[in-house]
Amino acid sequence: MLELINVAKNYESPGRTGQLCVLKDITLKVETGSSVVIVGPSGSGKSTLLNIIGALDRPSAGKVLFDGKDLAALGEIELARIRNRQIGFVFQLHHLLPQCTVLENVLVPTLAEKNRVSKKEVRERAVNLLERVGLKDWMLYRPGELSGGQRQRVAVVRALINRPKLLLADEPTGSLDEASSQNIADLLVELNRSEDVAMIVVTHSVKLAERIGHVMELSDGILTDKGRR
Amino acid sequence: MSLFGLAKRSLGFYWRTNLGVLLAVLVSTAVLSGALVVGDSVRHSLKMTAVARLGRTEVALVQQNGFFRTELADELAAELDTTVAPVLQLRGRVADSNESRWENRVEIYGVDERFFKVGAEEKKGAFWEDWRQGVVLNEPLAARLRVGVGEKIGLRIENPGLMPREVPLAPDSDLSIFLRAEVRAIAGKSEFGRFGLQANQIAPLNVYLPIKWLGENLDRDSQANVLLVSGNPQDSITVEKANEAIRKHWQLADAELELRRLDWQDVFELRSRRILMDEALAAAAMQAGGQAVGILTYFVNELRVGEKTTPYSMVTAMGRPAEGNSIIPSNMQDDEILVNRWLADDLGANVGDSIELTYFVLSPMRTLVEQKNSFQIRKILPMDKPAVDPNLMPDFPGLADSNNCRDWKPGIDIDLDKIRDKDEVYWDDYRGTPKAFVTLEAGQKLWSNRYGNMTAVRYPRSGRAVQDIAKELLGGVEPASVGLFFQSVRARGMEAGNPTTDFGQLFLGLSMFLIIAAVILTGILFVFGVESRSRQVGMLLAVGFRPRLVRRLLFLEGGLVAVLGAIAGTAAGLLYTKVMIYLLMIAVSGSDIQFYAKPSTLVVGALAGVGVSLFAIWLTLRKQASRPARELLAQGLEWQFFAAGRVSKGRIGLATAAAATIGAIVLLVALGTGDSSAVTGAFFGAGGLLLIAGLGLSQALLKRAGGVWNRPMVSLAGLGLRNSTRRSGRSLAVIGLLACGTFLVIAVGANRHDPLSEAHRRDSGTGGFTLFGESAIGILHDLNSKEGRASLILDDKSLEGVEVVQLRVRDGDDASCFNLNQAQMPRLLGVRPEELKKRGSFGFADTIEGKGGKEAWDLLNRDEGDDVVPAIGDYPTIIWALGKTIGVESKNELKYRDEKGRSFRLRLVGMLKSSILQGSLLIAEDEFIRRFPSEDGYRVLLIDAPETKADAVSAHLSERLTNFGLAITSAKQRLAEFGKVENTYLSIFQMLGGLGLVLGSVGLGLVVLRNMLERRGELAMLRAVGFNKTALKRMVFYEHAALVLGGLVCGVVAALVAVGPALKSPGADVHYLSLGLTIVAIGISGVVWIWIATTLALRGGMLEALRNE
Ligand SMILES: Nc1ncnc2c1ncn2[C@@H]1O[C@H](COP(=O)(O)OP(=O)(O)O)[C@@H](O)[C@H]1O
Ligand SMILES: [Mg+2]
Repeated sequence: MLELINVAKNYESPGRTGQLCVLKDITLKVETGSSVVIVGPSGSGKSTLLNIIGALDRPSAGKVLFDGKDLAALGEIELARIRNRQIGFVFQLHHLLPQCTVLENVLVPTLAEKNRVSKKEVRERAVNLLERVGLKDWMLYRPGELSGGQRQRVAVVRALINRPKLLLADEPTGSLDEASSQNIADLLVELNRSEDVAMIVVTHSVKLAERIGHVMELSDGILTDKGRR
Repeated sequence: MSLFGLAKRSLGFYWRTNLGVLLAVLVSTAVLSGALVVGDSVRHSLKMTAVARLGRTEVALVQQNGFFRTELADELAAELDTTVAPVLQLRGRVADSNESRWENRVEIYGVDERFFKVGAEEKKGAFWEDWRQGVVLNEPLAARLRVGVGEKIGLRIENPGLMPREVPLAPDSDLSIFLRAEVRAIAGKSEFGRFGLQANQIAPLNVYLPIKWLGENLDRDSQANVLLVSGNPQDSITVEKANEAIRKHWQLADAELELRRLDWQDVFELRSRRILMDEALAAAAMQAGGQAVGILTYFVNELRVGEKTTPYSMVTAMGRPAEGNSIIPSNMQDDEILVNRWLADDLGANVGDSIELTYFVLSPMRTLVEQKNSFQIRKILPMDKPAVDPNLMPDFPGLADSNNCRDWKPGIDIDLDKIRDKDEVYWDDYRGTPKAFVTLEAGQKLWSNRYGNMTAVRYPRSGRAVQDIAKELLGGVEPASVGLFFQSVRARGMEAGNPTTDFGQLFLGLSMFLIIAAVILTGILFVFGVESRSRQVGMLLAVGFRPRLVRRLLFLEGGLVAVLGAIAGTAAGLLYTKVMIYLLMIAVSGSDIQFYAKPSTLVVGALAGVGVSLFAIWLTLRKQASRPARELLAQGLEWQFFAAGRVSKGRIGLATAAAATIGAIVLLVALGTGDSSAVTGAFFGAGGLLLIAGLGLSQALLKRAGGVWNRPMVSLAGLGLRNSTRRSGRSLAVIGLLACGTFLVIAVGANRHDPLSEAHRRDSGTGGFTLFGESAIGILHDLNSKEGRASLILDDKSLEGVEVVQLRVRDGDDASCFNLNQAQMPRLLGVRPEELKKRGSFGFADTIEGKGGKEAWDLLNRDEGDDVVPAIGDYPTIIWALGKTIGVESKNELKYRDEKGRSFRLRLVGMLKSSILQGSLLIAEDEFIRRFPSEDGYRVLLIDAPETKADAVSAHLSERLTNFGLAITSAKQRLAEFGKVENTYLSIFQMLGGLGLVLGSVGLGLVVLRNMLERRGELAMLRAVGFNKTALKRMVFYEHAALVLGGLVCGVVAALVAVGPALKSPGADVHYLSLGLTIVAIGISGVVWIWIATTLALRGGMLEALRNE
């Protein structure tokens, strides 16, 4: 479903001469419904990689094929559509809208494209998902009234609202305590199965990585398969 | 959940920032709609005034030239099926019973119940009673005199003579009448107390008295000179119909003509009550009836043959029709004369002798000019019919009714001692029988004047009736040619109610800077709100919102705020309007401007408010959501990435600056020299361009400084400067706001003129005159000559060293800044140009030939063609009140009508600087006399008295000329009052500009605060690495002080160029100190805002901010 072929990413570096080479040669294949965990030290380019996969950034070289389509060939508007329909994002910081209720936050991605799905249907799905992550009673609360773990769960639900094929999570537990982290990890594993969504999770928590699945390590711009533990 | 719902959510959640935006929108909308409503209010008030002063009058006839029968009103009423009110309108003076208060220029109206039927509110049917010896005052007049019902007043009313007052024979002893009367009622607005045919929002001073009573006292029974025709329900009254009705019903008496039968002569004789028959009438009379014989009888001072003389006699000039029913034989030459036996005997003259006639001719100011002419005696006529015909003498007032020659009281000085007993006997036997006869042509050459060229026309009876001839005569004359024509006063009144100056636009202009400041603030506040939520924007982009959709969402939110702000702003605008109206009423005191807001205007104001706010929001949004989501999401680290941004060299700014500078230079080189008014414009334009150049340069500098990122910083100040470049948009907004504000403050301040600074000079607005006098009744005599002064019983000694320039006046609309109405036919002043030229009075701002100086007065004598009269007015009159200019083909002419209804054009040939003549246009006296022959005497006096005795002169003249209703004011005071209006507008402008600057500095404070908050992390880091707080404050201070300084420098430099000419102009009253202080104050207020914002931002846990990262 997703295929990265010889992907590289360089940044122009001011002051210094030459380039900062963050990703050198990444090749990766992710099947429908599978799950991958990427670990690596800070600054190794994990977020950069995830952004490229998630169509938020473009590689300097190499190809990203999504469902066989080359993302490089697509314009911004198509990319936005892919992000909206095919990919779900969970960030380290939840990025919920403080002005909206939990339910509304979940529904935000459905606003990106008008009348694509029936209002009633998405609403039912939202309620359903929230129920499954145990937040049905919190539906009408504001993010400010929720705990960190709860907020992240809302973020996860938001990422899934449009039935994406791929869920990307960049250190989803980075700002959570131990218990909440476990909770989120379990949730992700559960949803990976029940929602039939492929999943790429970036983390530097080894414990978490083990819970979720197939682990790969990014260092020096190279991705190495660590296999399932 | 919808986009709209989302926007609504944000609205409430970020209410603090949104409230800021809302307030800014509120201010701009309030100011905008407020200004528009001021326009509405002025327009509405003027319309209401027009209604109040005209009542239901649709069309009106104003006979400036004489009087007609009041019955004409009845006849027209029946014909037109409406109410027609006859009015006897005169000027006068009113005083309370003990002369402790008086008003010198009041309108006297002889009226009856029909007048109130036309004008008063319908329910007040019974307002009019036939007050015997009673009068009604209108409210303003009663208030000024402080008299109430039941109190007595004294009225001095002009007495229009039978003969034009300036004809030598006309008596000048009865120029006015005096009436004592009791006040019976006070007429308010609803009782037609506001009546006036001239468009002015300032209430006139009116006295109403029974037309019958007034007529009796003036010896003008059943006569009127104004007709007011009320509109009728069928709405069928038009000028054309009314004029047609006149044509149908008018009679000889309406032209003050009389046709009588003379028995033994067996003729009908046509005479005028005004003695002289005007040329148009005379020509028509000669056409009518067939075999008409024209007659002009004149008073001759002396007839002489050799040494022998006969004093004071009538001589008749008479036509010689082919049919021969005249005393003059058909082959008589123009240099021949027939004398009667009595005269021939008295002079010992024979046929063939030469006889010399001495007589007075008309000359201005009643100075008598004696002329002589000789004729050859052709024949001596026997003392019998037809030569002995006393009817040939017209009813000269003072002569015709005397039984003895020694009782004669003609208007001229005659030496009664010259009258011999035999003359007395002749008078007893033959009355005014002419002693000699010349041809009509000869007589007219000598004696005809602007008032006419015949005293009678005779028609042989030939079996006809009076009516036959009358009908034929009237059929041959257009009533308009004798002044009987209607004008559509309602239409004109309503038109005048659309002021030349649209006050909505004026106040919009005055408030412009405030509006701009508020709009910029709107933008700044909004964009700050959005920027503080950039992570949300990033998130939305990440979940697949297209940038455009994000912008739409934000725009929706801004739009909601703008709409709410505009609604609140419109409400606040009503308040703002009230303040502005209050200020306007200070400027144009005496005006009654009522608050009036048209719903459509409010909607327009609100929409405009929303519009400009949305525009500002849109401008700021254009760049939003254009950065990649990942950067926005990583907002906290944003400043680290900044270095990677593209380096702009600010080429656009530089190009703008260069272009604008070149433009300014070109403008100055092309138009900046010479002394036309274009110079002022050129400099102002250049200043404006320099302002743009300054802003362009600032932009370039900001961008440039942002580009030198990889050179090491050497000082904190350097760091500060670099920081201010990071957000060049908002920095530029601050510079721009301050620069524009400074520019305006200086520009306006420099244009403030002290009208009196040069008031002693002749080329100033006073013309070098110390006093300005205006009278209700025309003064006929020359106030500079000994004789003139003597005839007015003026003390020559008190008037030593006093010079008076006397101007003729044709009343019209007041075209001064006190009249908010559009003046349609401004008041005209007749002046002898050479008098002002000789004195070098009044300075010219512009002329058609571009020549200034006193020579420009000659332009009044230019020959512009037959129906064009050159005119001069002062700047406020021409530009503001009339909305005209000099030189521009389509805008330099006014249509005007002379007293006989003929239209002509006034062409503006010169423009004076602001002067005491504001409100009127000047034309040459000979043109004036040609167009308005029946305007007797001089009613405006420009008095040049030595400063030290000005008060004494004023007192003396006022006292002696009370009967003329002369009111004298100091010329300086008059000028100052005009100047006050202008300066009040400037003050309003400055005040609003000041408010704009306050908003500008609020904006500055916000920018500082925002910058600080955005860089909390950075500042915390700097502290963490050892900078102390003071050093940081200093850094922030340098950063923003540079902006303030930049703004001030741009503004000051541009403004100084712009107002260069104004600074150098005479009378410029620039308060350098206060201007300087203002600029310093702007600087200081900027600094204070910076300080407040910095302190707020640097307060408290700076290191905490770092930890949060
Ligand atoms: N927009 C950018 N410009 C320049 N350098 C960047 C940019 N984004 C990331 N980097 C650099 O790329 C490297 C990898 O960053 P990142 O992908 O965030 O690492 P990780 O998520 O593994 O901590 C870092 O050294 C960072 O400085
Ligand atoms: Mg990362």
